Amino acid sequence: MCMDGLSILKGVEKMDKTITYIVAILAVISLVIASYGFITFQDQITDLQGSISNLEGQLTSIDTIEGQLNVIQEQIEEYQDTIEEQQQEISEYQTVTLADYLGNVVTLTSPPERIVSLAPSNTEMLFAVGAGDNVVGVTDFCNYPYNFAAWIEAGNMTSIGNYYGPSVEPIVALEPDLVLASSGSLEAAENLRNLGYNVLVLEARTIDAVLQDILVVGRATGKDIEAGVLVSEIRTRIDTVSNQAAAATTTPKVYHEVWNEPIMSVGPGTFIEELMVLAGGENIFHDATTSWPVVSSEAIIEKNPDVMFFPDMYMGRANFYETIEAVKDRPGWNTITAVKNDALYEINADIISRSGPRLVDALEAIAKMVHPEIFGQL
Amino acid sequence: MKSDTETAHLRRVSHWKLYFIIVTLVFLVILVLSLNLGFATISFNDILKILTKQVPVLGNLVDLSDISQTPYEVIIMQIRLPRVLCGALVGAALATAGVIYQGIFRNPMADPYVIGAMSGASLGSALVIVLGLGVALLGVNSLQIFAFVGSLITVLLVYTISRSGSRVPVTMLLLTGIAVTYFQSAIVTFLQVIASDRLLHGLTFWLIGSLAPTENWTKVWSIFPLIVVGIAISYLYSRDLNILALGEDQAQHLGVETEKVKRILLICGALLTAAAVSISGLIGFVGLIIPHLTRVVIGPDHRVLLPTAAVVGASFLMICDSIARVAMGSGEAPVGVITALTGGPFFIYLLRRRKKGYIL
Amino acid sequence: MVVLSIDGVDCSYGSVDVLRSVSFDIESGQFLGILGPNGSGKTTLLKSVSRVLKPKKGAILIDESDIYQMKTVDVAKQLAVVPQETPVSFDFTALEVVLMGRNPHMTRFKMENKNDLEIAKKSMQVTRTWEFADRPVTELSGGERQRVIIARALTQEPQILLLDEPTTHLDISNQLEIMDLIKKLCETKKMLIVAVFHDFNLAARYCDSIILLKDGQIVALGKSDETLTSENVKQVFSVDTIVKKHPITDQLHVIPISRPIIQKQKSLSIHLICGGGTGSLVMKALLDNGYRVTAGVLNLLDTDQETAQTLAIFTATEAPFSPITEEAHTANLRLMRKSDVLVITPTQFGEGNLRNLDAAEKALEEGKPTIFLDNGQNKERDFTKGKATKYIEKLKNKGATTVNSIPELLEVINDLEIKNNK
Repeated sequence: MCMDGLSILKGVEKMDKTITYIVAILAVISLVIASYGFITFQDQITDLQGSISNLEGQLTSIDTIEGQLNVIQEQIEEYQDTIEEQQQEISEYQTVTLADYLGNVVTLTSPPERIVSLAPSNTEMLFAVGAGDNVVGVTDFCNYPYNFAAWIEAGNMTSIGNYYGPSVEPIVALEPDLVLASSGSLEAAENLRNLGYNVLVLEARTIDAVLQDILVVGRATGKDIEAGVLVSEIRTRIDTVSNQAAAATTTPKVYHEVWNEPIMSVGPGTFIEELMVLAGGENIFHDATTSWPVVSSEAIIEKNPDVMFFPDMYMGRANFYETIEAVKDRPGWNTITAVKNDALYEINADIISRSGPRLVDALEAIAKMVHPEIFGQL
Repeated sequence: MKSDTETAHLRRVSHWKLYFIIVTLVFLVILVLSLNLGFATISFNDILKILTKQVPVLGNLVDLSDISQTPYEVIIMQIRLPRVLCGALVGAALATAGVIYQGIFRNPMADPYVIGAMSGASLGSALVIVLGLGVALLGVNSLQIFAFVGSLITVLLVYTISRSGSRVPVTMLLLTGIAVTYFQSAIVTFLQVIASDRLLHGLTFWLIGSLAPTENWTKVWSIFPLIVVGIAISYLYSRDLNILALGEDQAQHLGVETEKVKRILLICGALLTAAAVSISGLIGFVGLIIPHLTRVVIGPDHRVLLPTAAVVGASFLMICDSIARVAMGSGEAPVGVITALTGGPFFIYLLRRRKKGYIL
Repeated sequence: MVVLSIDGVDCSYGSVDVLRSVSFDIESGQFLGILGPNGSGKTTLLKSVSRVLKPKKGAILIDESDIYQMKTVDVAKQLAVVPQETPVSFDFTALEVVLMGRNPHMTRFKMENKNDLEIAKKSMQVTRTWEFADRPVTELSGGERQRVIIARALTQEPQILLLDEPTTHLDISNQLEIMDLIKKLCETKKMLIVAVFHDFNLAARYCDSIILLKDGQIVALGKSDETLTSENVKQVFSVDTIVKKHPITDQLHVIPISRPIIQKQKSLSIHLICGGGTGSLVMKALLDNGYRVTAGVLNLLDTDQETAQTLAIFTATEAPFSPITEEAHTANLRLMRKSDVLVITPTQFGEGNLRNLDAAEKALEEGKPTIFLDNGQNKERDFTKGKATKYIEKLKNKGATTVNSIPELLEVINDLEIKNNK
């Protein structure tokens, strides 16, 4: 026996050392894979056995439930009929009087058919409530839900210029029956109003206000129902997120970078902070004195956020000049928790700053960044 | 047996050395004090320990383990120290450029931005921020490089346009500078109009001037040699600057090669300004008032004025940046506002205290 | 010893020619003055000589070396310039400004040493500026500042000194002081001095030689008394002058005279009895108004005689300081008879010229208008122990009239003229 063992050993020595190593490693790997497979497989077998017994239990309840479902379906059909009748009545009541947050009153006798939007957020809201077909003019910055630049080039849409301080001429040329303005076009709004046009200035600064605005847009365009549905959907999604976030045991510190040279973040009074809070997080610059504070690197290091997110519009794209990797290399940042845990994310810049329906998309994304343990990985 | 006047003169010259030493000591003190200010509260002892640790031999005697786990060493060495040094370099560069331009133009209103350095840098940076020029090639440094190049090229352009034959009349330089500045500013304004909000924010903040982007050593090394060389070379021509005060014709009669000296000094000034502006944006007031402030105390002789103004400018900007860092809670105040708010009244006070009238 | 040669120099500003073929030489120990009307190119000439404006053609040589081929610094070691005025932008002290004069001799890295200070001090003592060495130059008066600039020029230890109207903004005492100083430098240190002047008399007083420039060309060049003549002045400046040597100072004086508007020539001739300066103004006034004038008897060297000579008025003369001889008297009478009116100015009468009053008596006898001018000059007129006064009384009783001023005289004569023309 020993003789055999010795000779084997000698034989092994005589073989090429490298080959020996390779064989040894392969052996180890196969062992590991085999054991892992065995363990997972074991788990799966146990799970399957469990599910089989559950299913058998449920088969019996299904019959009862089928019967109940039939009853409910009948009721639903009845309700749907009533709803249709009532919808008829509602849409007959078409004359609409609205006021915007500045107190300007607009009266429309029928849903407008030539709507001009002076802000990308307004455009998004219009299309979201289904009034997109009646939009005849948008700004150069509107880019959602369609590639309006292409439409404009093809002649299917008209551009009215900049979101800030647009000229009234191209707007008037479109002969709109409704103009949705914003804080960037107050002068134009005033001028148009004086010329007799219907103008509403929408200027939400909180999520609740945005939802209000969506309802106003719906009412103004005769899409009350669609707007109501949209708002309640959004509301549900928001509530879902915030309720689930409430269950979290931690409130992670969150940092959002608006600009990189000099470093600018967000302070109180911004959507972004509101989203962070709803998502169950805390804005590290909540104590800033302005809404868009310029900050020092050391402040960020000192506050040590757990999560960071950057607008994708300027990260890694030709327009700007830093990638997430470069951010990690900033001096001293390797001590920040977010960097250590690789909790750096990118997010579409538009959805976090536009006062429109996509804020909730942003919220859901941020929620995943802040509480992946609840909402899943982004 | 020297007369009183002679001894007085020689005594004044030795006073120069004294002034300069005092000012430099004050500078060093301010440097260390500036390191104390910032968002993170780091005690003075800890700062001293951290600094000593960097010294090769002494460093081994220092134990940093009792400083809390927040990365204070990193903050001091990687963030604050480079920023403070950049503040000193930018302040020195702008003040020196101001002395040079006031001497060449013989005009108290001259500042480093007078012949297009500022508008050139704004244009360069606006092109990068709004149109994304150069980013593909130069990456993270595109902003600094474009600002630097924009500033330098504009000054050289102004110089070339003003030239007639071998001479560059000083009034031509000033007028051409004004024209070019208006032109470039118009382009920058246009770029601001077509920019979206985020870009606009970024551009505006860069234009206001801030030392926040200088919180890394690359920035320090990128401008340090330029600024040191620029100040050194201008210092060599300080006697010529004195004589230029009499007028160019007379300077020539006294043996000064006026065109050559003007050219060299303008280039130095341009380099200094471009280097400063490329990392900190457009910080105003320092280049205009620090030379005057120093001159009121020390006198007009450029052999002492130039180096002293540089150190005073450095100290001043470090102080202002420290205030900017801590004045607004976790946010930062624009340093250009601080320089104007502090410097202005102090300068007026100095002017009034001086009994004799102050011509320039 | 240096020689400064300006050799066929043409200078222009752009396409405008300002100097044409200007050539002259000057050596150490000489003081050259440059005079000319505005626009004649004086300042341009100085600029080109001081190496500021390169001539289009020609060369400027210091001892055969073209200054435009030399380095600025080397030229500055030999040549210093004092401009008209120096606005200083910074408040350097007087001493600091003077020390700048050592710049051409200092290398780039040196500061001023004791030697430099000594030289500066000496220059300042010579210019009497050492007493305010520590005061800022901006606080000094124009004259003091100019002296400081001269001190600075001297501190360059130049062999050639160029000055551009160095005294224009100074008061008379400063002017003389500075010019005396410069002249002394020329003599004692054998400096070569070239100065542009506006003031003829200053130039005449101090310069050895003078250049007159007109339209960029040299019209006259030579010793002061040869160049500064009425003709030259008239040619260059288009102004009438009297150039004469002052009796006391023996300096040339250029005195501008206003050429009257040519009056219509009048018919009357007036003969004047005058002397001692009382008749000069009358002569001029009468001539200006178109009358023919003669005078007598006047002694040579008498002021009125000199005036008469300058104004080309024919006189009956007598030897200096001598009593009137028969010859002179006869000549005088002849002149008197040839004229229509006789005027006697308030000249002083002594035994020597009392006889002139005889002409007046004769004139009255012949019915000629005889007028005494009594304008208050010479209160003490009678040096004949009363004889003259009595004589004059007698003449007045005989019909001689009296006027009290030259305008009155002119009026009276004018009336006579009108009467004569009728």
